[in-house]
Amino acid sequence: MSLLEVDDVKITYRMPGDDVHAVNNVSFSIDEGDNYGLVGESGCGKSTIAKSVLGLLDDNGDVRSGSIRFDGRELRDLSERDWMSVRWEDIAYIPQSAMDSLDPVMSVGAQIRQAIRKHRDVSKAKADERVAEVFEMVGLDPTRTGDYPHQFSGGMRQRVTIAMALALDPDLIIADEPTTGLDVIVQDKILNKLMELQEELGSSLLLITHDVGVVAETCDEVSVLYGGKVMEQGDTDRVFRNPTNPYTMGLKNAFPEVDEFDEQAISIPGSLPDLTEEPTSCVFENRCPFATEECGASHPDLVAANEQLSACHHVDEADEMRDQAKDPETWGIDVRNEVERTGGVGDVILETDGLEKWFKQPQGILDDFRGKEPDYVKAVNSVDLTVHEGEIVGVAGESGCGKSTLAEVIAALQDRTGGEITIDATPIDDLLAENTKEFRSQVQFIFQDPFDSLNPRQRVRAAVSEPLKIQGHDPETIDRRVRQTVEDVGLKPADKYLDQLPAQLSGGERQRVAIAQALVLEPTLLICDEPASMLDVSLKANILNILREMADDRDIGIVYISHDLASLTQIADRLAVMYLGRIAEMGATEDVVRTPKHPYTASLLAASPRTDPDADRKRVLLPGEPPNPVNLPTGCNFAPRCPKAGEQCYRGDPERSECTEGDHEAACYFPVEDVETELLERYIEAREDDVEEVLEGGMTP
Amino acid sequence: MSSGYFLDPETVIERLRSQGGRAWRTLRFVLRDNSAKLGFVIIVTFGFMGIFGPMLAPYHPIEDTLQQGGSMMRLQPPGGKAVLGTTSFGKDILSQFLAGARPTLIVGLFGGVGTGVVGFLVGLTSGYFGGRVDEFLMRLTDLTFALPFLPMALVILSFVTPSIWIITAVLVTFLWKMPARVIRSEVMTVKERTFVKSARARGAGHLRTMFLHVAPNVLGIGFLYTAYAVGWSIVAGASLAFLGFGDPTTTSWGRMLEQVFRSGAIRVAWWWVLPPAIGIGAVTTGVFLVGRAFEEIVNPDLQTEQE
Repeated sequence: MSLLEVDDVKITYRMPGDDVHAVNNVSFSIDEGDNYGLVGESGCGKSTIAKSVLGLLDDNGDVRSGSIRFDGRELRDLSERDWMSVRWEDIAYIPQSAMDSLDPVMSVGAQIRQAIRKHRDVSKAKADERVAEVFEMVGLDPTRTGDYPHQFSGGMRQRVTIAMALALDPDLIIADEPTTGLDVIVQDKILNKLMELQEELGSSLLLITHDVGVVAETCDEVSVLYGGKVMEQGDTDRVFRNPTNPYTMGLKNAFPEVDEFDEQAISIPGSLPDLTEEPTSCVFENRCPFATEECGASHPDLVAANEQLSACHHVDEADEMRDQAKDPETWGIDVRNEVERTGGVGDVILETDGLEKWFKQPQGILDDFRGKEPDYVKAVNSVDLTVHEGEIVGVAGESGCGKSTLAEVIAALQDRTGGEITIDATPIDDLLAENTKEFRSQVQFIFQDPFDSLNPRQRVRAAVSEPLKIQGHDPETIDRRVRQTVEDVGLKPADKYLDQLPAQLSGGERQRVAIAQALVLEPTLLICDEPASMLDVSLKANILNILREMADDRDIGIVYISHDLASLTQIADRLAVMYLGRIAEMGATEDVVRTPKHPYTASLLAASPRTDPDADRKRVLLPGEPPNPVNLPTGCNFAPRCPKAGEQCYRGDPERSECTEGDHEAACYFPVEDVETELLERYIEAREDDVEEVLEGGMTP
Repeated sequence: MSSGYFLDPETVIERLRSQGGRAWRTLRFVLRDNSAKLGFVIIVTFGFMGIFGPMLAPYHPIEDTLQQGGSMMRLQPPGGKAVLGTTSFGKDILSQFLAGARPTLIVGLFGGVGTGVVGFLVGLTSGYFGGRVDEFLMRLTDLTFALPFLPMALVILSFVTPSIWIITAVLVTFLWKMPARVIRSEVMTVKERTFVKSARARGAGHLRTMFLHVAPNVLGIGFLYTAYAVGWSIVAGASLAFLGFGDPTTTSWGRMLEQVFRSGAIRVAWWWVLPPAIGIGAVTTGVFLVGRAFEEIVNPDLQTEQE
């Protein structure tokens, strides 16, 4: 008998007007000790299923039919009192955002202890022992149980929630996007820990994520969900090696591997089906390039295909579909003749020289009075960056490395504290001195969050025409250029979109409006701060394509900032890797990715999860966390975490010219030659030798 | 200064029109609530009385003294010539009630709107600019918070002859702090949202960003507090009148209550006490009922309501 059996479950949400059929006839089962993955994009019903297993559906959600059995016991019939004993005791939960799931006014130890004592009749001392134990299990320093959540970094807080989930030795752990929002290196460490623990404890894991790579690396079995339906189900390796369902193919191909330069990522056209009625056709029909009449008639049942189950009317043509699905043209994407990525194609459009942005730390009035030099956070520290016309320069780095600050300083949204910025051979101060209008017409910005970057009260027309109005153009020109730009970013026909409010648009459409806002002034430099990171994977490629097109056709220089290496390698001509306010490595994207010189770059690249289930990847167990940016160590910033660091690294800070190979520069005295032996294996050794040091990692702000 | 720092008239008109549409939609939404309907009926009746009351009154509220059989009708219970009875000076209470609606309406409406507008602008400026501006304006609100309303108002009104406009001005002086505080904190939240930064990146100046991007997103709360301020103003105006600091030349509901108290007949002459008391109570309740229904949309999701 399986540990958890979800059988033919239907869940609806009552909404004013219509019911939303969030989950439709989903079945799966998890065996004891197994890792099960539910993968799909937002709105596919994966979190709803998790909540129903925990009995924590929102008030307007109902399990309409089907059964959820845990250890042979029907969970749907449980009373609230019964639930109390099942939750945490048998089924524990690791929520997505560890930032919000811990009580900020209670020490983390007390929160775990509370969970223990709620269920077990044990003394406080006994409970504390257990807290220390689970802390040790997840690799946290047991002496820190008295600390409060804000004293931990994001990754450490996620460990605390894992520790909390483990406290009662549950049979099943449900992890809802446990690493989303964490940096790749931290993600790698957390996943590694989770797998290790599970091995040790023998509990089952239900992992919910949108990241195909994470599932492919961690789960034994997987269900691919779309529109509240299981599209494909089976052994993870088989499902991702030989997908038999067009949706799985699309999803997998939308995740480019970091080092795949030749394959263009695809994006799935269209948007999610309307779930206000029970689906009568295949839920994927409206976006599927292989759809036929048959697909419109009914939603296919799950049928055996190869050795997995797939819900597709054309399972028998799976092999042909799989080949075609790799071709972006199948998905309606114009394949552009790859312009030779050389870098430095046109004139220099942006040049920064020793750019600095230091944030002054607050200090006491007394210290001020005594003339004490305040502490600074060196968010951007002597950065030299050059962008040419028609070139996309990627800036990669983890959160807190200063990449967003760099973007905003270049766009004059923040003042710089040192160095020079030159735009089109004019110093930025001269541009700003006259009036900002001129500057704004040359430099534009695209923000990360399309759900927040449009004024909810402004219609598309008003939003896109605003920059032109500010520049003082006449109404006719405005109207013409607005229409042109809106269509250029793929919102066709323009009339359909111009009178919409942002709330009426999907995430992808909103981001296009934001891009149109930026492009309508025909800037020469465009700065994009994670423009695709809030979008579903199937939409990402589209945004990247638009940007690429703009760079090629309009000769715009683009600075593309992201933590997502895979999308950077897809789009960027040259790549800069930032660590703690400095550029650690810079060069043509292919050179940087193929032959990283700086140990940090190499670690970052190695930490990206692979969607190919066959890929055997060593986890990046980079010790510690980035040091506190207020008191940076002297010498190379990365030295304390670097296995290759020598005495020289602690004494002097290497210049970027320290290690050069053509255009490829790295600020390192001892560049990496072999990632495997020099870094990955050394990390594991370092970890075994000195666990304590790992625990004493500093905090990220 | 470049034109980016000014609002072009076209944009302003377009904005106002869309805000008008929004107001209409919001009103319809508010009126789906039954108690809000009741409140709305009360407010409309009150508005009608405020405008036409003095014309509808059968007698002049102060000049006409009712006579019956050659003697003054003193403290007559309802009936006969005086539908709602008379005062101790033989004045018709119905007429006083109808005529008294106007000053109450003026104090309520202008006091409320004035409070809303001043509070909104102060809150917007303070929250948007932050820093020294914020420091200055917020210390000013702290000061008004620290001053007790009634004693201060009484002191001011002792030095000037109270007129209805002066009373309204005094009310605004003491009430603007409430919306200012709330709007400020709301603006500080909205200001951090990306679209505000985005507007700056597109080249919008401060004025444009403040009024076209930040203001519309806190307008709901502004209206809510304006509605509440109408209620507060009516109550506060009536309190001042009751204490004898109302406009001596007009009849208001608060002044009616003052007179019944002074006459010593407050325990017996229920017909004299109830109309103004019920009037004040009903109008403020009406305002709050509509305000409450409105609050449900403002808080938390005004954005989703329009789809």
